[in-house]
Amino acid sequence: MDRADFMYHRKKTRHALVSQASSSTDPIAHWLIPDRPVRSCRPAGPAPEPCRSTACVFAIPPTEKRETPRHNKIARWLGSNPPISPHGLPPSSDRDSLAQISIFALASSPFGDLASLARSGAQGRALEDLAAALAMNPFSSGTRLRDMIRAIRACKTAAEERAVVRKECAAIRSAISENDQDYRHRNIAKLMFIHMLGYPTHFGQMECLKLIAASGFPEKRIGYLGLMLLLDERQEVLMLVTNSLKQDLNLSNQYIVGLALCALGNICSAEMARDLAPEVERLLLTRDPNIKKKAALCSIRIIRKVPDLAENFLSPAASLLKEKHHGVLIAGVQLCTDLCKVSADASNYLRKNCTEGLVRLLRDVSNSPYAPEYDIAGITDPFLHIRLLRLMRMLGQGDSDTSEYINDILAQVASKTESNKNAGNAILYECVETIMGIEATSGLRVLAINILGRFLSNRDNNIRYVALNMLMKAVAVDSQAVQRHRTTILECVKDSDASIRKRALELVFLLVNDTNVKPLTKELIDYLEVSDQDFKGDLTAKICLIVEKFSQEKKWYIDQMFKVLSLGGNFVKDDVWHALIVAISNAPDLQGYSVRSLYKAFQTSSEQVCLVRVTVWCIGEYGEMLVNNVGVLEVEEPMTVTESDAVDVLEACLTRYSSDIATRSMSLIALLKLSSRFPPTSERIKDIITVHKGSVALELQQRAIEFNSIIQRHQNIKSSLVERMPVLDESAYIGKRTSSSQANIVADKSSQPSSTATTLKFPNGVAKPPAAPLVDLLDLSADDTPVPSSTSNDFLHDLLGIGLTNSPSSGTAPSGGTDILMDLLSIGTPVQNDTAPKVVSSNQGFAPTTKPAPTTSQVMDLLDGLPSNGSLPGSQTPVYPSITAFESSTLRIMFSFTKQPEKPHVTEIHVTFVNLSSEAYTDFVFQAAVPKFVQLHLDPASSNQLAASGNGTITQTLTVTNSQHGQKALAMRVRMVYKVNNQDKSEQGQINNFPPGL
Amino acid sequence: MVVHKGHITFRPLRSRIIAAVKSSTHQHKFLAGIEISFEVSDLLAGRAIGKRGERNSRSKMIHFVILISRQGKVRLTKWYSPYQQKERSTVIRELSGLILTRGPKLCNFVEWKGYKVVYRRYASLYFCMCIDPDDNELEILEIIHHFVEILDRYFGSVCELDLIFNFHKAYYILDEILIAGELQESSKKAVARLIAAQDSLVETAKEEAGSISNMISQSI
Repeated sequence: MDRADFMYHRKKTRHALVSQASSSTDPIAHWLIPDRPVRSCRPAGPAPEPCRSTACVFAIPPTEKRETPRHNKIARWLGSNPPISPHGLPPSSDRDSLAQISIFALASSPFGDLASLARSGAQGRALEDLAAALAMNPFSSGTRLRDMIRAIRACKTAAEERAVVRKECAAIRSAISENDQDYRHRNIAKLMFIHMLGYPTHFGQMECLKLIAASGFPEKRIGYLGLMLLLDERQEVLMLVTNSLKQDLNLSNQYIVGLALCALGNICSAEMARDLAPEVERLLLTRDPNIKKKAALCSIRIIRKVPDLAENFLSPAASLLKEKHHGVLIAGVQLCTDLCKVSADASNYLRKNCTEGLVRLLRDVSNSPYAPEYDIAGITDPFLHIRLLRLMRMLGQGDSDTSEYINDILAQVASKTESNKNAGNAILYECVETIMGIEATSGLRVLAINILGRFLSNRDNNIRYVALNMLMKAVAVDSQAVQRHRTTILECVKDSDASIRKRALELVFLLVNDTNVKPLTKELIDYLEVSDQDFKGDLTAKICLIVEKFSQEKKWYIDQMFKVLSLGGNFVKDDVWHALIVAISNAPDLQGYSVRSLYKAFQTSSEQVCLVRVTVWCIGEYGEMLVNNVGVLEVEEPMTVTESDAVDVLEACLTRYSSDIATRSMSLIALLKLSSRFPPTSERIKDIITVHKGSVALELQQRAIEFNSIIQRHQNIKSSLVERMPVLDESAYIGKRTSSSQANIVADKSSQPSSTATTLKFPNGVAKPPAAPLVDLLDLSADDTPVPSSTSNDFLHDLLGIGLTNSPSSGTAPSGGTDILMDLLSIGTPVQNDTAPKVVSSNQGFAPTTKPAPTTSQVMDLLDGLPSNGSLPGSQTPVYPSITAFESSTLRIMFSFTKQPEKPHVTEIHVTFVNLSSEAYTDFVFQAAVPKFVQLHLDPASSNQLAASGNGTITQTLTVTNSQHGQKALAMRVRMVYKVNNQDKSEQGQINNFPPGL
Repeated sequence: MVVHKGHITFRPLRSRIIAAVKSSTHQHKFLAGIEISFEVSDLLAGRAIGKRGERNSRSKMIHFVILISRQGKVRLTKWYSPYQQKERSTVIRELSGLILTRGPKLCNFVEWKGYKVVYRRYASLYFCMCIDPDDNELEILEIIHHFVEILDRYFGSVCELDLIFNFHKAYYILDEILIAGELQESSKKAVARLIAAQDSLVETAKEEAGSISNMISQSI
């Protein structure tokens, strides 16, 4: 047994036991310590004979080592036995301790067992059993609370503890089922302890109710305590106690009323609140301060549960503010504060009637002479101070008259309160918050900010923490004043205390503006290098937010992001580096610089996941800029990178153990791209890809096989297949990012995009699917990425950056070809429902000879057939009349149509734009939208300049696939955006006059 | 380490929670010599809005009080907001992980799941209270100290073992200090008076019961 326990009981327990009658310090102990024979917990029934003979000595407390007949008997018994060493017991030679334990056991275990043991005659074995039983369960239901606690504390393992608790619970349960009244209170006390250890105790809940229903104060006291501990407000059992509570609230004994109020205040549910509100209201008006303050706090709980009841409490609450007793005052002020929160009427009422009294109260208490009962660190009742200030804040909020009225007293508190102790600082802190919360004068605000400045330079971490906390609120009020403390706040970001760091970082984020963003970012990034690992995540996220939000120039943004990536690349969120890639793709003059910086950063920080991914992507896209030093900025140091160096990087990423599948897949694609741009390395790349044909990762294996066959068998299309990605649409990406962060609508909605929304986003006639591209490219394994159906033709284009301008060279059926390629390359992603039939139809349409081929190689064969498809005759094309699709005073658009007879649902539209005005148009962009049953594909326009007065034209080709050909006619909505003398213009119109049969 | 009745013991359990002899009644007695280091962290208690939407996050209140030992054993828990038994053990586990690992000189507040937990260590015990993020943390520290001083007065240099074996009394005292997560009484004396009065009520009832049963047993 724990020595500390023994010592403890020598000191305290003895005292309690010996001076039982006179001791008033330990009254409960009497209830928990047996002073009469303990009952057996065995089921009722005739006790075996020997039991009676031992019962008489049973009451002796085990700690008292008195010579008793039983003691002697046991000692004799033990002595007559050969030495045994039962596990879990002290060595049997230590007779004294064994005897003691045995006495314990006798004192508490069912006598019947012992009796039968004794009768069995097999003493050795019996004793062994007894010892084992003792080790398992030294005590059972007859034990006192204290003994149970001791037994639990003596357990060395969790399993032992569980065993003891299980036995105790079993005993308590059987006592409950026997309806044992004598020890009900003790059982509940035990259950409370067991509950605290985290074991289930629901079976004791009804016992609490029985104790509460008993008439005596001691029973009620334990009963209410058990009620509050073992139950919570959501249990239905609680409803059963409402009646007892009601009775107790009406008793005259103030302590019983107090118990009931306390229980009600701590666990009442909304129903109980409604039922008992009248009683509580009445008790608010009694004379006894103890009951009054408890009733006031109880009312707070009632109002929180049922705000409708607030008005009933209003006038009693206001009258509490006139009390003298601090406990009642504190409770009353809190009640008023809560009333203000739930009802505007209450705040108006209190504003009108109580402001004056409150100010007087606060003045009295802050000027009061030394009052030993309430004094803390030289201040009289800081708790009351704080609550008064809080109520004043509620009243002064948005009310200039009240604010003015309390101005002086706030100034007095703010300037007079001592700030060398925690209590004083707590008052100042509350006072500052009140000043910030009301319509204070500017002088008072300055005072408040100065207090915070003082707090901030305090050496005590607690004070600095609250200062940072409060400055966050002050930013909204007076950001200039807070800016003055910027340096100090920045220091706090580097504090060794995580709580302070976190607060300070939030505050810094609020302080950043256009003028200070550069130095602040530099500071933060510098700190990122040395910060704790577990803080890096927060810090990185905040830096990224700051950089994205405040970047004024692209180069700065890219530079900062590279720094963050190389220092905290493992913590950067996906959308952040996706955005970086979009930004790089939109900055043609920085692409060379970016890829070189990334290459350099990679040499030193190759363990940062996100840095690796961005590097891989950039090398894949802009590898030749790395090798040829394209677009070198003045600030750059010259560097020489050979083609095989670039491939080295990718190979390292691909083969490194620590790379995840996404990174590896990206590396594989980048390698494929490089293979056509760096012809000397193509053999090596081919080898690398070949190795991964056997990869255990399905995604990699599949891609390696696909890429391998592209390299081996389709050299003719490879170069166009792996063209650079088109410029990614920045605004669309940002839009998507915001919308996806707002709600998870992406999955549902963009899988069925209205083609209007998607196609309208195409600037410059380059078909750029709006949202998905980056995700499609990068999240190779993410099979939930929706591919907008209207852009599925462009998937290949998206994935590999193929330039469709080249595709006409491979035939006149580019859309059919890309469909197949798309399926070829997107097997990892779910195939859209509507693409499946399309593939079939195109098979039938132009590659019938390949149909018999085995399905596994079908796709490849289709690709084989592609070039020959290109020569399919289109001579029987029916002729459709050209139309003038759109005409305004400034612009005319003409459509002419061609159709291939074997594909009646596909129409090619050649669009001609003519400028009718006298001004030249620049940056001309044509956008078109079609109904859902139509798929639209735009090829790049011939130019984006349109000369004035019909002197020049732009032509552009659209491919329209009408999935309901013959049933529904084509319709199209168009929009032209262009600049005239640098002024943005746009026009739009609807085209309904398509010739029939399209 | 505490010098206690002439013995030097290293048992944290026995170290008095407030070590110092009070030189005068109104002086702070935390003192000297003992490991009263304050580490406070505040834990922000989980604001699982969906799950416990009924919990009013705007009302400034103490959501729960927990006493944990340095070994992570729970010595007292009091919940003023509804938490189910399962949530309770999760909360305790998370908080002990957060608080017990904090160094001695750090601030006494820990942010946790949208709440703050204010903690303070007395000898081997951590007193933790969970509050809303815009409540007054410094005041909560005072309330904790207020509670400890009252315990100390009641038990006479209270130590962890007092709170283990007389946990119910610690609860009674807490119930005289806090109701519904709000402070009830700022006077230590008033609390002591109320507790003593109720203790003696129990005492009287006990004696009466004893004498009645005596009379009955004698008459039989």
